[in-house]
Amino acid sequence: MIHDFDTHYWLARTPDGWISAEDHASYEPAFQRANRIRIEPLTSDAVRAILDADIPPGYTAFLRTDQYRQMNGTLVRWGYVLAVERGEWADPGREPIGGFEFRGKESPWVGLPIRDGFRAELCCWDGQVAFESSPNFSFAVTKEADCDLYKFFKVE
Amino acid sequence: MAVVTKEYNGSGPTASTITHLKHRAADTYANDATNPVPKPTTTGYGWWKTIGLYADAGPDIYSDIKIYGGGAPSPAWTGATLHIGDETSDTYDQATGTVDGSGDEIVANHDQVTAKTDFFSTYTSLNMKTVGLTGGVATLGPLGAPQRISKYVFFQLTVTSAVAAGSLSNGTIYWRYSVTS
Repeated sequence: MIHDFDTHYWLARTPDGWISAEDHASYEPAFQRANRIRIEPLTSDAVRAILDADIPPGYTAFLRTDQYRQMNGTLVRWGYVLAVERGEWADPGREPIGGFEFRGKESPWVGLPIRDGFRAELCCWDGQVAFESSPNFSFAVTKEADCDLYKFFKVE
Repeated sequence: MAVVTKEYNGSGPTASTITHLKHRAADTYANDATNPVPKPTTTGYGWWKTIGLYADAGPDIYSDIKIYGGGAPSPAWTGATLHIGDETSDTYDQATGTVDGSGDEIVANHDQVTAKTDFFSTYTSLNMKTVGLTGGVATLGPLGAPQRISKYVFFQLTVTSAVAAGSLSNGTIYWRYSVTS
């Protein structure tokens, strides 16, 4: 689902083709069949960054939007979290995976332990991408059109 | 799906959407100058406040709700401290005290709160307080009807004789939560 505040949206490649946040939720079973996930800008004024990951067999993907909202309702920070972890969960959309905690220049992941996988967050308030992983995952940054493309991959 | 802050007042309680947490000498939520907390001879209290995060019906799933402050208010408060109850709860306990006098101290009088912490000096973006979801579940949603999604959070303003007359500067309170959509 795409909200009024969204600046980015997800797409997932499944064995039956691409699905997206336009007509699916990431807690639906169809999303769990995805073998590739992208988070792309919705509009031309959104942060020019794309997250892209192949989901290896045996791994589970989790998508979350982290929101920081003032008591008056103003959304002051939001970020798109992509987490990939080895293993199976009965209902991954209902797993409280936690999030990054931004402590100055450090961004430790606090939540679902990273044993074999990675966590990435597109921080829409400053355009940065936070990343933490087990040693067997990494990322590379290239260009796709006018966007920075963050490609996350498993190191074989 | 709109997510707002509600304040809970009265015996019901009655939930009201707020944009400011106005500390008062009465169990009301309005952001105006009525029922100001009086300057005490030694120590006094605003009536404790009960708030929660509230969401519209919709397909989203919520998790990992936390609360924190934006640092010390500026100009700095003298003789005033905003405390947060260490416990969050699904059980409501109506605020008590003397109208236009002191509220009852929260630790001694609130059924759910056994300790309190200086909110602005303790809970920041580097150290958020975990609030939890209604019912103690790990995730909540999709919602079939609008409802409170967080546990109740309890605040109380403590003032001493050192407090200056008039309004205190505004502090900022933030919610942080995750959405699966």
